[in-house]
Amino acid sequence: MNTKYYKTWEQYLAEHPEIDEKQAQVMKPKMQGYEDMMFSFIMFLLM
Amino acid sequence: MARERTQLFRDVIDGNIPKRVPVCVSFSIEFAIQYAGKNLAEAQWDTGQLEEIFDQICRDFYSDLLPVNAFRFPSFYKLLGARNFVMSSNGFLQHPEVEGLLQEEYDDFIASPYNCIIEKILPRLYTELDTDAATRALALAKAFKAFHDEMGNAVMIYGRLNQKYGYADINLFAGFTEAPFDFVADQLRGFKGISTDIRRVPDKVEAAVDAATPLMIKAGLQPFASKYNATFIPLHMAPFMRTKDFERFYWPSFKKLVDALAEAGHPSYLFVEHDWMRYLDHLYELPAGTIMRFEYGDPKLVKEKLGDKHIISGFYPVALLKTGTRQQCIDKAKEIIDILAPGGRYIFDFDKVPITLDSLNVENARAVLDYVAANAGY
Repeated sequence: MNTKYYKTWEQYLAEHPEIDEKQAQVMKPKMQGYEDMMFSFIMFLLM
Repeated sequence: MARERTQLFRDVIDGNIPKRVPVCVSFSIEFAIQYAGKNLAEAQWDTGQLEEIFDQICRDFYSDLLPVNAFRFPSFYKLLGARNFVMSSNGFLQHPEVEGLLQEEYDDFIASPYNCIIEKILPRLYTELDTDAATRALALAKAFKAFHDEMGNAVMIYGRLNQKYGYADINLFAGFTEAPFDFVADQLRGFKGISTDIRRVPDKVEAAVDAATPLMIKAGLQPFASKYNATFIPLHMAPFMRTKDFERFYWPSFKKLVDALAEAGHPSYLFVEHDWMRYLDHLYELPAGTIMRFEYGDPKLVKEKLGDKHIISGFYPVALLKTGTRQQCIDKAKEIIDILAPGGRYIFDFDKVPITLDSLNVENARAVLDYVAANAGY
């Protein structure tokens, strides 16, 4: 998606080199989940 | 009972002939609140009342799937200052004609639909998002919390009612999205705006619909793929378009959406609103097993053209439940079942969701549902 308001986990991780690999594994589902929840909410507001 | 009911739907979805025609009807939250004798506005705000309210629908109207489904609550719309969903003084959540996207903003939308939604469309439709940065951040946070509180409460209620009444373990509303053209038309440009745009700026409309398609696909994806859980897509604008406009502006992106969902393992459950008889050959091209609930049209023609590939539902006229005698209502059910049930791939449903208590005679509705449950065996 061409937008600055939605980031995939890979995009987020690239901007946060301080996150180590072990931490990244447990962060990914939670961080991506909240990103997707906000996307779904935004879209719901227009449907 | 839940296992038997689940099997009815699984057989339909798997292309087998079920033991009998499954019944899937749904009543609106407004109907349910009025039926329970509660105040419309109060019950939509005090959603703690909803379990008792929905329970009365489950108790009194036969269905093999949970017969209530509410997902628009006033709290999050009010917190955001919504202009597109507004509760009237009588407690109905109304959807006024709005224009979230100006005609001169098409290029912005085409370049990045999601940026345009966040920066231009949402602030135009939600007044609390048209404020300073801190105020709108807080408004969005409150609304997001309210949305998930309300949905969480509703899902818990649905789960308890499913258990209590033994409804089928099938979800036709596991996801929700729109046809890309409808998305651009409904709240972005409005009915009047899109009708003008098709004539004046057709290339921009086409590009905007294409740009919206990936968002619609993403919105319709469910967390887990299952052929027994569908993504609901209500269809709006096609019957109001010329066929050549439909073929250019509506159909390609809509087909792409349904194909993409099917490829990801999500069948689509279409509410084929109004009369789509002109487009049956198009509908045939959708992935096999697409569930189509029809509002108006010719059930015989639909069965003939689509019945060997797709799952048909709807057509039973809610209007008759208000004006007809009990026997006329039952006879109509027999007539529709005789047309649509042979060979399977059919789910009994009304042509539309009854919105208000006075939109039907409840005794007729009960009689029809009980008749189908008892007599529509194969």
